[in-house]
Amino acid sequence: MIVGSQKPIEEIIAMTCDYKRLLVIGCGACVTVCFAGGERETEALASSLRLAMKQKKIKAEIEVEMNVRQCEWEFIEPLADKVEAADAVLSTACGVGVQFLAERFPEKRILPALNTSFMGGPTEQGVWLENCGGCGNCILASTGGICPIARCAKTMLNGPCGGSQNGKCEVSKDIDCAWQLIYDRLKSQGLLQLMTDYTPPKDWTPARDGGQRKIVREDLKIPND
Amino acid sequence: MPENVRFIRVLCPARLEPADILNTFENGAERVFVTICAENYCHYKTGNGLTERRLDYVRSILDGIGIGGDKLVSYQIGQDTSLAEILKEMSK
Repeated sequence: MIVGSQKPIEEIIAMTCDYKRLLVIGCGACVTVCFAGGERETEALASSLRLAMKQKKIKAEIEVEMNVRQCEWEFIEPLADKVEAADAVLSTACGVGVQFLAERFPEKRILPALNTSFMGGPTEQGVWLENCGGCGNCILASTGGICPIARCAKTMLNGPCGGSQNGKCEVSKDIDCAWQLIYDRLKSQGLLQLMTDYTPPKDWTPARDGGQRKIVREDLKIPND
Repeated sequence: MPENVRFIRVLCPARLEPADILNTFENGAERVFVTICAENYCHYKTGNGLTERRLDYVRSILDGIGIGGDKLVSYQIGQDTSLAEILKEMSK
């Protein structure tokens, strides 16, 4: 899932305090699961903003709407009337949701309430870790299901490097060395030869350095005629 | 108990969401007291710690919006000073 966290409340107040009618839209997908932009967090944020405006003696109407997913046109459309009536929209979705709203309502100020961080998952209650770098050319089959693109600080494909000490990365003692994990996993599976097998250079053309990426499934497209 | 104190019953303070507490301020409360079971008397084992951490989170929000985190007070049942005495003192 996409993991994010709410921006500091001071930053959100500074972004929104000039608008008299603010619509705060929550998202029921990934950001609900990571407790950043679901219904509870959106209600708390709206309440915080109302209190902040009262403190600043600013009269503002702050409404809340929940949305199943802000990254799909059909779920955004029912919000049209509310969005049109607002001076600005504060979205607690990830960056994808914010951009979808901004594209559907180009004349409206759409503001992000979250900092979208990474694709990952929870490792324990209240802790999320990055797992996937979205490189577009998955190599997990040869790395024991552990991604060095997302989990190695140097994105190395032939680690571990000299900074790996006692299974930890030199960047921080809190970060496991991805290549130590890969070695241990492959060893336990009896697949260590995968580390010495010749592997052609990774094709980075599907990665993000080539601008906005696109996936097209011709079989799913609706014909124009 | 002072007349200007309103009691809201919850099953366990760990059930309180940040929005519940913020709504209480929004509805006009000047201070919010959250009473917590005495140490080691939580029926759910971890409710006390969870509540304290959540209150700290809400205090950080209250600090950020200018109300002040000190307006959210936790009271552990069994403290030397009774809740009634504290509330009377604060409502003067």
